[in-house]
Amino acid sequence: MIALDHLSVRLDGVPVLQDLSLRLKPGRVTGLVGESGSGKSMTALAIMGLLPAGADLTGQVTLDGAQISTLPERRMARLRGREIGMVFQEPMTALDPLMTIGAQVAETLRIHRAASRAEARARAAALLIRVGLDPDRVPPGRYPHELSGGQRQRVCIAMAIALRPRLLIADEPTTALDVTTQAHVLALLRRLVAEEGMALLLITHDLAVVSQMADVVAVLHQGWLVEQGATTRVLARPAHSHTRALLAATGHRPARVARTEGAPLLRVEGARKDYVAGRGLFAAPRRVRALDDVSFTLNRGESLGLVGESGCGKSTLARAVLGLEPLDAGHIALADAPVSPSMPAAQRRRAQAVFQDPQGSFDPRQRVGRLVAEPFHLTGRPADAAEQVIAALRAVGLKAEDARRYPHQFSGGQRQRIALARALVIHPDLVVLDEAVSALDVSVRGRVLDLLARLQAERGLSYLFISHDMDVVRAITDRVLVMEAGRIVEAGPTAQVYAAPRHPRTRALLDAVPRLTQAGASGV
Amino acid sequence: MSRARIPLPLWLGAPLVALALGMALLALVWTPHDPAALAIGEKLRAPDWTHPLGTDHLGRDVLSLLMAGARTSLAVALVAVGIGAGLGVPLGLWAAARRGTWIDDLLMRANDLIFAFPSLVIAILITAAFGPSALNAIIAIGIFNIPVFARVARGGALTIWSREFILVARLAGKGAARISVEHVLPNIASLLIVQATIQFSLGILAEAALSYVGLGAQPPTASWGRMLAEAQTLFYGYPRLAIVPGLAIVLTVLGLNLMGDGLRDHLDPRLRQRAVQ
Repeated sequence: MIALDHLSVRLDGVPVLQDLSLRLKPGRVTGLVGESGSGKSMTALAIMGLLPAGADLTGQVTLDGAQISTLPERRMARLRGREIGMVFQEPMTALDPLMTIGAQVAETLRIHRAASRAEARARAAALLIRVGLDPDRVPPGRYPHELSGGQRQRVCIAMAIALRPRLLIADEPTTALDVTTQAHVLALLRRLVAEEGMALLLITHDLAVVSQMADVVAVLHQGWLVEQGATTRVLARPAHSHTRALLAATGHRPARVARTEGAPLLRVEGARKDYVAGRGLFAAPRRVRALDDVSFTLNRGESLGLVGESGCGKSTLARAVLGLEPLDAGHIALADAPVSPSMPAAQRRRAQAVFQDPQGSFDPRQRVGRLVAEPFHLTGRPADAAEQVIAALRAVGLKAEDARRYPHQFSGGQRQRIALARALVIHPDLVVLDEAVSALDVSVRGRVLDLLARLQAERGLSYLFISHDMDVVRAITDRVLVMEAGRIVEAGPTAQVYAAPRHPRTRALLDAVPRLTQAGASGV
Repeated sequence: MSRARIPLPLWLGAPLVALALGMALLALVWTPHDPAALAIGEKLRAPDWTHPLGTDHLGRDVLSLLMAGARTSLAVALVAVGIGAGLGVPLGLWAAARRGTWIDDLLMRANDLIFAFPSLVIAILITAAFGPSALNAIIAIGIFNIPVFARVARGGALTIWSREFILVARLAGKGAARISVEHVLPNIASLLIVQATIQFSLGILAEAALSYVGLGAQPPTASWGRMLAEAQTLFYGYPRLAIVPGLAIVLTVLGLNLMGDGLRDHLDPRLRQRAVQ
């Protein structure tokens, strides 16, 4: 058993973890929840002995009674992998792109001298089968880039459990994955915990995941453990106000009035788009159809959802609607004028967008004031541009002086507000929100959704809301389109589609959503 | 968050470069003696108070020659880097903006063509064909800097083009040229600065090599390479005459390389130890 006793961590003198005591028992799943910056990941790093330079640890971490937090790095390195395994959020960066997946799993065994070369290879193959990678479809000779995100995460899990560690730490293991893939990976983790009898520390910001997975839950808030106990008890009768706030944010739906009766604003007819994939030296180019005869209408003031797994063509459709990429066939019209990459500025200004990555969607070398003013390129810079930028920042809940700061000085939620201010500064008719809240914490997401609903009501905006998160789409949209392999397979009013899905893909997406089960809860 | 520490190579390299630059700048207005003035009676004097580094076989003051030589060497290298960056960076940005098209292919294959020739041999060819002079040396070295900068600029620009903020700029109706100047160039600037310091040091070496074989600066213009060439026959009797310009070249090139390394560490956030919030 691994135990944390009065663990405190200071980073350059700033406390990031305070007096944390936690027992991680074999065969038990412990959920560690909290917002970003609450100290979740720092807890994992402290257990693994991987705290960054400048960190100061007090208290102790013990493995079966023996203190491990004071071990020298060489002995700690032997412990990692053998006794404690770890799975990270981003499976692509956790794998070596130049090694086959079989070799990577085998390497883990070899490093710890647990097996001979041939033995390691055989055991690696067996491990990959155990984590659900069928050798006929995904043989051990594949490279990471040939795998999907979910398959990569399975490889990471195989590496983490290769030496049958007593503790597996999974830090947001499914946050980068689709709902359906998430469901499969979570089920795999659960099965492995039961079979191996190991302890699992599941770090997540998603209470719904915790409610499905964890036996025990610990809630962190600003470095303090504010509540811990059996998951059913904590979720049904939360004792701490922060737990209650997290619970409220999880199921949060902004108050909004459904509107579907406006005049048509956006018309997409028979859109088709092919990509050339795998253009090899001798191989014939293979064409992948990203959009296949897609047609729909978006009305003024309406909020239209577009859901589907990654790779289904959602983002291609978004780019076509924004006039960033040409179609191979079909027609898109916004306010009765055609949309294309060569459309005039007066037409282009009608649609703006907010993208997923709050980090990557800003030029890091420019100040917020200049970033938000960028769309003025379409309208000609008005004389009162600076005032308009400030008004836009105020409208999304930021301050005038924020215009002078750089994007990296803001949190993820604030950055998405800046992105929204940039989209709104030239008063577009349509805002395309491409996974705009997917990278945000639950509570931050709730506030951004509230903001979106308020701005829509105030300005009569139309939204095209693209997401793989079914809960979010239900919260903010009036109608929904379900996409699979470039085609729209189901369309209808959101409430109706969610209540009675007709297409198997829609049902699969809905079934995969982790549900927050709160036996005996009231008023949430 | 504490300020990032200045890396050690930068500490070591910057003073060396500053010394060479200082010498060159000072030589523009003042040298202890006229570096071109011959005084056969004073030839091959050992260092003393009037000639801190002695005199050469024609009685010229070695310190004055060194300072005037610094001016020539640095000016040639600097202008050559200017030519390379001035033409190479726009070409690289253009190729990145038209990535995957025939323009990109054409530009990059033309690059490969220049790369395929041994640069110094071609530089010798050019100066031999158009007559040896400092100007022709500059042009010859500059041409070979173009593909280096084009390639570095294109490589850096390609990663910037895949970022989401480029998508946002396109959404704001900005064309490829505008995006290249407003968003791409500032984000690859640190990459280019580092490359410039490296090319600068290579330029000094190339100038010294060309002058050494008599294809660079012509008498009476002083240059480190020419000082080396003239000291060659006197090396056994007066090693000082070769050691002084040789050491100047080595220390300046070393300083520039250290500075390049240090700047890369200092400017590249991926290599800088990241402070966890």
